[in-house]
Amino acid sequence: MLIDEVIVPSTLSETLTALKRNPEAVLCAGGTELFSEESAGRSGPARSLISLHSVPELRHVSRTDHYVEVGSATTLSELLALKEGFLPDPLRDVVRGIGTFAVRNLATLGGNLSCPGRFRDCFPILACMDALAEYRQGTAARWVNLNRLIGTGGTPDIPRGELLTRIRIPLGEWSLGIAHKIGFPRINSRSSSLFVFLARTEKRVLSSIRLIFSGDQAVRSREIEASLVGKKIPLSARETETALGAFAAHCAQAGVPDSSATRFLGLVRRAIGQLNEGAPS
Amino acid sequence: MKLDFILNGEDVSCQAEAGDRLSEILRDRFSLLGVKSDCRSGHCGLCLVSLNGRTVPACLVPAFRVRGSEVITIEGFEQTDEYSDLREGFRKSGAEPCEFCRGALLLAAASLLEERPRPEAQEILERLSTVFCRCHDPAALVRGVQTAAELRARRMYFRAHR
Repeated sequence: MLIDEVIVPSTLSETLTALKRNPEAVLCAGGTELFSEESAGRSGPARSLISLHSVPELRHVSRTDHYVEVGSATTLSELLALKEGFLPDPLRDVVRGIGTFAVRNLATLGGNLSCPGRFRDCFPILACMDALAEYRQGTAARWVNLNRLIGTGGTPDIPRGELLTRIRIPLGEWSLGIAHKIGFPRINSRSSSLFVFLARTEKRVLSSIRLIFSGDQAVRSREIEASLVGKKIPLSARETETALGAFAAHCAQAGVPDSSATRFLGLVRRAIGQLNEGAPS
Repeated sequence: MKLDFILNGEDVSCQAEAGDRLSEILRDRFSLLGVKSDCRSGHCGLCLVSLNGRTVPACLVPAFRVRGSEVITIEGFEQTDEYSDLREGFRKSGAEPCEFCRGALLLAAASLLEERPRPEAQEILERLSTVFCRCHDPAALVRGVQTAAELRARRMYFRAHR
């Protein structure tokens, strides 16, 4: 990547001012995506770069009874170093599966959520949890549900000219959390994808279910999820087949390639199987 | 851009392009060839260095990030007591990594001992799997790191009670 100017702000206010002056500047937190060989091959004209590694406000982590707020430049290692139970377990498991410990010392949560062209591993799990992202531009700030970053055709629609400052992650127990990575373990390649399934049951009834399959594009259907809520666990064979049929139709409508759709449906079937097995008899 | 930083305990300075990789700077400007430059994507782990106390792949660290920081390569680590513990532990356990991955393995092991003075075998395997090389025997490496942990604990004890 060709860089003609590097701006290293040391406060959030300096960062927002720099971004206002250079709305086309590349934002760099850990740089693991930007400086990996794969991305370096996409070099175009020289660009200004704003480095976020010296902005302490972007590394702040706090927790209330209802949610955890994580600064966007918090590294993945810093997330894993938080005491057990601070983060939801399914998120922790996903973060542990990203790269090696050395890469996680550089990579940041905000960077993982801001890669153009492809959803990275933290996106599906946080979207399933209905996490919110705060974007700031000048003095204006807005909270965006991560699901709204799924653009037309299911591809990422990352806001430009705005700074992702923090991510608010709702807390809550999930009866079943599955995160299945497809691709080489630890290598964050362009061909990997992630399947996430979260389910909550109360008195043998499914009270909440979320599932996303993401890579080049994200596949999620809130309608199908809503149709499953309220059903008794274990789901009957007919209910399972109806849900799978609905997901198959959704994949076809979303233009998901057949191979990915087949894999997705297999993972949904397996997840429902696990959900049924976990149901008390 | 001019880069001023601390390299293996010494103040150094050099000229670099903002997007140059730390691995290239260390090899090309400072002839520190213990830092290997292979995948340039952080996957192989052969270019590990310590940057401000954190072990990172030097190939993913851009030059501008190095300004004002402290970098330790295997050449600098070789001057420490922690290195002696690991070298002795590896020797006693028969772990003999090749010259290509030795430096990265030692830095990865050192970072683990810093966090977990008595690491479990699984933790050692997970940490050392950061370095992709077929030369080594995992079981011998586990024994080597655990022996190094004992040597380190003994050395710390004697230092505290001197």
